[in-house]
Amino acid sequence: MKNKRWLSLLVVSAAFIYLVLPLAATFMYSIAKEWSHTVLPVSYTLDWYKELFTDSRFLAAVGRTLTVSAIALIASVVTMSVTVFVVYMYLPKLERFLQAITMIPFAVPGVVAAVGLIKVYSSGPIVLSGTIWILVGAYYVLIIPYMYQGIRNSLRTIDARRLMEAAEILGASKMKAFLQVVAPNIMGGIIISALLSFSILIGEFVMANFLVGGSYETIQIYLMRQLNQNGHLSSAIVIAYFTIVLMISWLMLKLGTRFNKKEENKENAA
Amino acid sequence: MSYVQIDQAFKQFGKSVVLQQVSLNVEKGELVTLLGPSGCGKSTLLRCIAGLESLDSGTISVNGKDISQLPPQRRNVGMVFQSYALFPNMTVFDNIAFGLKMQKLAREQITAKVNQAIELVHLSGKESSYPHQLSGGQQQRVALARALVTEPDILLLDEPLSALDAKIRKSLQSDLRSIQRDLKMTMIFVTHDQEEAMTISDRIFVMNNGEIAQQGKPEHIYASPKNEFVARFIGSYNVLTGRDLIRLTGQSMKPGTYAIRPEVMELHPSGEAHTFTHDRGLWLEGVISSMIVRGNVRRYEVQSQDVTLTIDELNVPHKVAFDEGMLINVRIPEAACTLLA
Amino acid sequence: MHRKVTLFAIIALLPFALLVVGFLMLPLIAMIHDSFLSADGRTYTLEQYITALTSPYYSKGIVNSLKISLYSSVIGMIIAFVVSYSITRMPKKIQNFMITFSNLTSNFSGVPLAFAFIILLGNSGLFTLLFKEWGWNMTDTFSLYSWSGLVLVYVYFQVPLAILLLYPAYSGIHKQWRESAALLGASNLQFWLRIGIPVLLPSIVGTFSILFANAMGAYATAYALVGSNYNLLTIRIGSLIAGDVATQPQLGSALAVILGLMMLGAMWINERLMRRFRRDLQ
Repeated sequence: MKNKRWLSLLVVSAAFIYLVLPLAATFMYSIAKEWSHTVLPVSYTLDWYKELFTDSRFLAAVGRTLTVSAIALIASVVTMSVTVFVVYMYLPKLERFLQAITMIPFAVPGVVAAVGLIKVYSSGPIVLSGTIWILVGAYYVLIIPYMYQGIRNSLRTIDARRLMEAAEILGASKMKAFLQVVAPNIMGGIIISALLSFSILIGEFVMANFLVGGSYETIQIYLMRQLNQNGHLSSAIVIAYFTIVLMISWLMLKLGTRFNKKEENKENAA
Repeated sequence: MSYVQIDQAFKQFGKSVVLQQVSLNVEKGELVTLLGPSGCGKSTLLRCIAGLESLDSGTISVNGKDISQLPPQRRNVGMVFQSYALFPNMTVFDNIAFGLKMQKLAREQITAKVNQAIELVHLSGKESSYPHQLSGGQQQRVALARALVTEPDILLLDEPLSALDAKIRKSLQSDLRSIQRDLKMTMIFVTHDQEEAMTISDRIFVMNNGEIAQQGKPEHIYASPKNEFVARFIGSYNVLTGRDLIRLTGQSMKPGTYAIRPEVMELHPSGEAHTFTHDRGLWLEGVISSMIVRGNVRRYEVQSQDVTLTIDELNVPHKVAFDEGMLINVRIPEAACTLLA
Repeated sequence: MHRKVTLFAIIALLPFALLVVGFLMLPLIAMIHDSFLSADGRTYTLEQYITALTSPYYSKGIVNSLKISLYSSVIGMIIAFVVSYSITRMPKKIQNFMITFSNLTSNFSGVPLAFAFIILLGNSGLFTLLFKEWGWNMTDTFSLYSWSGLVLVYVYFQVPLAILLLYPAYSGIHKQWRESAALLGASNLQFWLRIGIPVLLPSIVGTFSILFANAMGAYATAYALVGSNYNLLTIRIGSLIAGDVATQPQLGSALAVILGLMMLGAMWINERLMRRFRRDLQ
C-alpha cells in the first residue's frame, strides 16, 4: 500500500509545535532578563529562579500545597484501598454502586463542588470554611475516580480473589493475607494512581481559591497573585510546576513498564 | 503454462532477505500449501501474491497476466486471515456482501449470492448476527464465505485455522477441502502445522529461510525427504550421520546423513534369540530411557551410546510395552535409511 | 460468622462512606436544596431558576458557556482526529513520545495556560510583536482577551486531551481490516466510510462529550485571562458565591445545578448515541 507518510510527519510536527509553543514561550520568559518590546528576549538570566527559590512566600505556598495534597492522598490510599478491596472480595453486589459513586466527581466541576461545600461548612454544626480541612475533603473527593480505577484494575490484574484463597489455605488470617500478599502486589498500581492524583492536585486552583483562597495560599493561588506583579517570576513557577509534572509522568512510565514486565514474565512462564 | 506462476520472487526487509528468488507454479483448481516454521517467508510470499506487500524483484502472474504491479483491489484474489479480520460493525450478511457491494452488483444479485455462500459454509440462521456473537470457528466460516463470494481467481489462506482448537480445526479442514473440490477453486494455504498440510493439500511447498526446501505431493514428501530440514520438520525423523550408524551397528554404510522414520524401527527384547544372518537389517543395542503413549502409538526414546533415537510402536493390547531402563535390540530395515542430500 | 463478616465490612467501609457523604453527597444535596430557596433563605420557591433562565445577564452566560464548549470541542476534535491518526502512522518511538508529550501538555490549563497565551499573543506578546514587525497589526482584528481569544485558549487545552482519548481508538482498527477491505475491492475512502469511521464512532462521541463537559466546567482559564469580566456560566457562579459584590448563594446554587444538569445531559446523550450508532455493541 502506498502511503503519504510525509504528510503524517508534517501533521505530527505541526501538532508538536502547536503544543510546545506556549510551554516554550513560558520557559523563555522565565529566563529572560528583559523582554517587553521585542520579538525575542534582549538578554537572559537565571535570576528569576534564584529569586523564586529564596522567596519565603513561595516556599511557604509549596509547603501548603504539599501538606494538603499529602493528607488527601494518604487518606485516599488508606481508605480507598480497603474499601475497594472489601467490596471486590466480599460485597460484589455493591460493585456497580461503588463504581457509580466514584464517577460522580467527574461530573461535578470545581465551581459546583465549591458551592455545595461552602454552603455546608460555612455555618451549622461543623464549620470548616477557611480551614485546610475543607480543602483536604474537597481534594479527597476530586481524586476518587482516579484512585478507584487504579486500585480496581490492580486487583483485577493480580486476581486478588485467587491470591486470598491461596494465602488462606496456607493458613494466613484474612488480615495477614491482605497485608502480606494482596497489598504488596497492588502497591505498584496504587502508587501510579497516587502519582497521577498528585499531579492533578498540585495544579488545582478553583477549589483552593473559593474554599481557602483568602487564608491559605497554595502554589496556584500564589501564581495567580504573582501574574499581575511579576511575569518572569510567574513563568518560573509554571516551569517548575511542569518539571515536577514531567518527573511524575516519567516515574509513572517507569513504574508502569516495570509492572507490565512482571505481567509479561508471568504470561511467558505460563 | 501454469495458472499461477511465481518467478524469481525476491524480497528483503532492511538487511534481512525474506524471499530468496522463490519460483513456484500452481495449477488451476489445485490446493497447495506453503509449509514451514515461523519466519520462513511463507506469509510474506502470500502477502506479496495478495499485493499487501510488494516484491523487490520477480514476477507473479495469474492466468497468464502479470499482476505484480497491481494494487490489491485489482488483483481479484481473496484472502482469509488467521485473525478472521471480520468488520465488527457489520452483520454476517453485510460482511459477506461487502465485496459484492464494492463491485456495485444489483441488490437482488447480492442477496442471492450471499445466501448461497452462507449455505455453503453452514451458517444459515446467523445472517444478522454480529461477529462478536459468533464462536471462532463460525467467524472463520464467515471470513471464508466473504472471500469466496466474489469468486476470486485464487484464494489465499494465511494460517486460517491456527487460532482454533483441535476439534473445530479438524472439521473446518475437511469442510474447506470439500468446498475447494466443489468449486474447483485454486487455493494457496499457509501453515506451520505439517499434519494439517498433509491432510489438506494436493501439493506441499516446504519453505525454509526464504527458499523452497522441497515440493511435491504430501506422501512423496513424507516418504522421501530431500534434506535434513525437511526430514526433521515433516514427521519426527531420526537424523543420523553415516559415521554414527557405522559406530552403532558395526555395519558399513555410505558416508552422508541418513533419515530414519520412527515407525520403521523394531524393538526386540535383548535376550531374544535372533539370527543376524537371515534377518537382514541394521541391528543396534540400546536402553529404553522413556515411553509415552500417544493414543494408538507408543513413543519410545532409546539411548544407544551417545545417540538418542525416537521409535514408534503400535499400541496394541496384546503386546506388552517395554519398561524404562530395559536393555533392548533395535532393528532398522536397511531400505528405511534415506540418504539425505 | 456471617454477622462477623458484615460487621467487619461495615467498619472497613465506614471511613470512605463518611468522607464521601461529608464532602460529596451532603454538599450536593445542600446545594440543590439551597437552589429552591428564596434570597433570604426562608421560603421555598422557583424564583432562582426563573432568574437564571430568564434574566438576559445569566441566560447569556449559559448560552456563552454552551457556545464556547461546542466550538472548542468541535475544533479540538477535528484537530485531534487528524493528529492522532497521523501519530499512529509514525514509528513506535515517535508515537510513544507524542503520547507522553500530549499527556504532559494535558496538564497545561487554568492559570498557567492563560499566562502562556498572554506571553504569546497578549498586547506585547511574541507573535503580536512579530506580526507587527511584518507589518500586520494583529490587535486590529484579534484580541486574546476577546471571545475569539478565549476560544483559542480553550481549543488548546482540548487538543491534548482529545489526542489521548482518540489514539487508543485508532489502534483498535486492525491493519487486517484494511487489508481485507482492499482485497475485497474497497478504496481507502470506502474503507474509512464503511468500516473505519463507524468503528471509531463510539470513541468519537465519547471523546466529544468529555471535551464538552471539560469546557463547560472550566473556570480558571477564563478567570485568569479576563477576570470576572467574561460572561460564562462558571464565572457567574463564582462571583455569586464569592464575588466583590454581595453574594447570592441561592442563585449561585441554582446556576450550579443547571451546570451539573448540563454535564449529566452531555453524558446521557453520549450514552444514547453510542447505543444507536453501534447496535453491534449491545
